[in-house]
Amino acid sequence: MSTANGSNQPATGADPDGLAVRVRGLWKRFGAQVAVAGIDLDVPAGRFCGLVGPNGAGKTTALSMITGLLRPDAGTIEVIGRPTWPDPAAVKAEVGVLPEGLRLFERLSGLELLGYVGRLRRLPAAEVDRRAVQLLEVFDLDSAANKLVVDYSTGMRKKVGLAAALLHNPRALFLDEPFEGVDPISASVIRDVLTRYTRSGSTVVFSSHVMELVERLCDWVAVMHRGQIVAQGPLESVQAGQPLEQAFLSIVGAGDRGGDGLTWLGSSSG
Amino acid sequence: MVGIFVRLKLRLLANGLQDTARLVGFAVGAAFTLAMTPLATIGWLELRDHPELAADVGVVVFTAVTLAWIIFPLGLFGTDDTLDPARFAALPLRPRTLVTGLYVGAFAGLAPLATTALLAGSVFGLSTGPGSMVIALLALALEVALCVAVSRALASALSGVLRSRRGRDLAVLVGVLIGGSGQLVMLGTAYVSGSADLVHSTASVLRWAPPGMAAWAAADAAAGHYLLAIAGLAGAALAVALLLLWWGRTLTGAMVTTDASTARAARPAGRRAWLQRMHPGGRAGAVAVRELRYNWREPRRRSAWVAAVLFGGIGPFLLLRQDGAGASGVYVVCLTAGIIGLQAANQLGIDGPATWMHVATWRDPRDIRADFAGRNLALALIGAPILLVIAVVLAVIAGSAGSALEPFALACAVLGIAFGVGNVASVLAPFPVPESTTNVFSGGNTGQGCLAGVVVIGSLASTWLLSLPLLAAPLLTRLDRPVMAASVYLGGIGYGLVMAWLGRYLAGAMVYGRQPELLGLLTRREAG
Repeated sequence: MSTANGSNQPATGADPDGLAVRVRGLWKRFGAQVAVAGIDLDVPAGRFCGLVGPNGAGKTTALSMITGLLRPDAGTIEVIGRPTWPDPAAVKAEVGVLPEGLRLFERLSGLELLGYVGRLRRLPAAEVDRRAVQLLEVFDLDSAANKLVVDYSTGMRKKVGLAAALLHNPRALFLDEPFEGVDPISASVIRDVLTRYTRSGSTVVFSSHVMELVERLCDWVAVMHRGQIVAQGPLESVQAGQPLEQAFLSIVGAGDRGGDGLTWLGSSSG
Repeated sequence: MVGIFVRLKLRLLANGLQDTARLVGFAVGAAFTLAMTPLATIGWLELRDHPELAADVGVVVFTAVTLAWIIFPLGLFGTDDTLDPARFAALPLRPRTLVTGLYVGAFAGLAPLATTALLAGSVFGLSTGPGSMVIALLALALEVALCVAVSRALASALSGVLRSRRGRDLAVLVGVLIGGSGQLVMLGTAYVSGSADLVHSTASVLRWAPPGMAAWAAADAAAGHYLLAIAGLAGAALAVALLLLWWGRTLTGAMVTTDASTARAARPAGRRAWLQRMHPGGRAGAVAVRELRYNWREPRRRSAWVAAVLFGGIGPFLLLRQDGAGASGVYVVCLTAGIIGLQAANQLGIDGPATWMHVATWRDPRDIRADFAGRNLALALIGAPILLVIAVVLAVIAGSAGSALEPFALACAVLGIAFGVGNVASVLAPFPVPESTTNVFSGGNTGQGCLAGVVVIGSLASTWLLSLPLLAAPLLTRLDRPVMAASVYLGGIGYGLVMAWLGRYLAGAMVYGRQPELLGLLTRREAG
């Protein structure tokens, strides 16, 4: 039985097909609105997977259900070979999460926050403090270690949230828009850490609506549109020889609506 | 341009009323105004027969209303966010246009209407004939204009302060202090009420301030001194003009400056090293330390404590003074314990959406119980010393310092019961509490005041009900056997501890299977 502070075993031991995430027939409705409409999703272990789609495609809802924070209406989810539902405790111990909106205990300093999360995850105190200091250093937050998180910038919050998600060395990491509102320097730090993390066989699933970013970072892509997964697989096969954005637009069949009616817009118009 | 602002304000008001909570709030406010207006008008008409008293009362009431316009929006409720100047920052508007538009727009709303309605009787109460009635009408108009201007100008001037996190933290505390001291002032005036002398001496000072000038002008006119009356009105009008001028200047400033306080350097770590060192082991210990930090650092919790001590601590003193019950009066500290115990009634809601960090680490119901144990421990570590101090002070007032111990023991038992009740209430009906607002213009109305009220009243009632067995303790100890007394009080504390544990146990069992639903409740309407 591996625990929250389990070391990095290859994830293939848990699932016969070597899948980190296996989702079948997942549904979620909010009133009349269907947020996730029966998706199937496979993410092989050790991949850097991008979940792309426009705003409102259902990415956040899907990630929340996969990580055990939102109860699905129907469907099965397995993460690292364990079912998320009905009891998500086992999955939550194995994964790290950076949810949307990033609500942290903001009145703690960065160092205190990591120390707190580590203790909630029942890691040994000395180990928590060691990892917390290292993580803050890697994320370039060591000078802000004793500053309250409420006074952090967006990029710093994302970084400290990511550090909190990594603290117990999870086998899979689920990040909701980790690069949203993050400056290029912080983004490159986040990128480096995540790349290093997947190289050791761990899995990253992150959502984004920025296609170029997904294209640059990911080797596995799932495209969401209106609550459904319209394409998934290795990056090259989804791209089909064109930039991901083009591929996406042709998959969802969006027409060129780039402003035919706006004849008055621009300096040369009359 | 002004028309656009007024239409915008009305449109925003109408759209806001599609929200049920806002509609209820609006309806309550409107009903209150409708009910109070006839009463206020009758009061004003009564004053017509006593011209001297009418002048004094007019001055005091006008000033009080203006003060209310200054205090309530800033301290307690936040003014309406519909005409936040920051939203117009990107538009090419001159400050003069903006101030005029925002000012006129500000009159379209329930509060200015209610103020006008409640003061409308003064037109008759402060006048004697048609001539003085015109002056009284002008005085009323100036009073309302003054109220709106001073409230808006102050909000704009303070928005710089309140845009910084530290400033907002401070404002929340100031709001509670104002609310609390308002309570004291009301109690104080109740002691000296009915004294016309007091009203007169107060009015003789206040009549020189702008709201007083307006009211006094009406009285001057009623007495036939029309020149003095016009001078008074001019004084009040000048005040309005100066406020608008000041508002225009701060407005331009507020639109182009930003919060720099977050750039402040980190605090040295050494100061809090003792808390790190005494970091107790285990999940409950970690939660307790975090809760202690939060109770100190978070303005909402700090002000909750201030409010609890103000209302829970001062009440017993007044009871004791009126009662004259002697040493047994010290037992009112148990009432304080019930009020302090209310801090436990919404332990998950106060963390709001951040609770996911706990939920993400719950492996079984024991983890949830450990969380509550930590929270209860932190509250007890703050609450028990407060109760001890209150008990000792009450005992000293009652004449025997030694009589503090037994009431204190029972108060601790009540605190334990309140924690048990609070633990259950926290998972049964959690409601997110909005963060201190991002600026003065956004109100704290999340439409959950009703739920909060039910939770508070239900928790208090349950706590008192479960505390009933404790009533046996003072009776049993009348038997005058010291050993018996000690065991009775220890038994009381034990009962409280068992109740707290039972509450934790139930909370853990109830919430474990419905974690996503709990998170849903806590993230709902978080934006406020």
